[in-house]
Amino acid sequence: MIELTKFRPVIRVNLEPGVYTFVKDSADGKSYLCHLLRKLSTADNRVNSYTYSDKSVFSLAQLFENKALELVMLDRYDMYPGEGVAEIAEFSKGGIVLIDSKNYEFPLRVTTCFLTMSANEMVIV
Amino acid sequence: MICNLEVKGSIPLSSSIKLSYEGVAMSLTIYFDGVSQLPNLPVEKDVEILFMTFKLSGCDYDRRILSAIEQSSYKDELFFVDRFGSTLRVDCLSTGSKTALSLYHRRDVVVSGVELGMNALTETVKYCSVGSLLLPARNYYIECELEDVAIDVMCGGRHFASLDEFSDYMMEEAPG
Repeated sequence: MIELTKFRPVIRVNLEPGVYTFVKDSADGKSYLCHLLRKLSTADNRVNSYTYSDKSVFSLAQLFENKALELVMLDRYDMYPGEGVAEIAEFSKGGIVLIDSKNYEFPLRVTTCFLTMSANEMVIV
Repeated sequence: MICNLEVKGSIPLSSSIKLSYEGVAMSLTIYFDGVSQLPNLPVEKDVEILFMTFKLSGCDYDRRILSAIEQSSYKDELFFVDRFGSTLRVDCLSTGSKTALSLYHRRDVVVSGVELGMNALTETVKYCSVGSLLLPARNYYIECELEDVAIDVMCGGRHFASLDEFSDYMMEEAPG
């Protein structure tokens, strides 16, 4: 479980380490969460995110080189399917990976998670 | 030349015919990746980039998509009001909404639906009667409503005028 309560909106991730994919709906706040985690990564190096537009700047494998990392969100994974699966599997032994994927079938054990959002809080369970 | 078309909704099936300015019926055409014969149009895979190539017009379709997918409302070509009352730039819209809006405003390309959420696909089918959508070849769950909804969709060489029929097809017969 990770709580980022010093900032607004508050982010609460009530999950154990592992790989999670969101419910396959649009407009539930996933990309906003990705944006927030990237911003927060400069203040809290336990969290970060990755999206398709990052591909031209750095690789997904490079993201996992941060040994302090505990929570990663991968947005728009259908645009880079299969990338970094080995790194995701290794990281998920001790960290939480949240993935936005509508179509990719992961060759890993994956659990569905749920994101709820209010004006002041995002909760992932 | 792109013409203005009526958009659809929960309307009686008998009034579901949508005509272009030439009087020719048009449809939202859905293709399956690796299965369907694609039209001679470029395929745009990155919807976030495609969305940056046009402006919203505030037409009925724009407003319906914002309401149905985002629970938001149109403000102007650059901004919308989100479900919490905040005014945000349209680039903050979900990728699913951007896909739905691109289909209507960029009929000169085939739009990739690989990032389309199930709710966005359902709302797109209900309201969009133009454009070309490329989906991964698999089965889809399209949520029906209590009363059938008139749609205008070409898929798998068939025309669908009923959301119920299309839902059955996507679940049972779509290549997957």
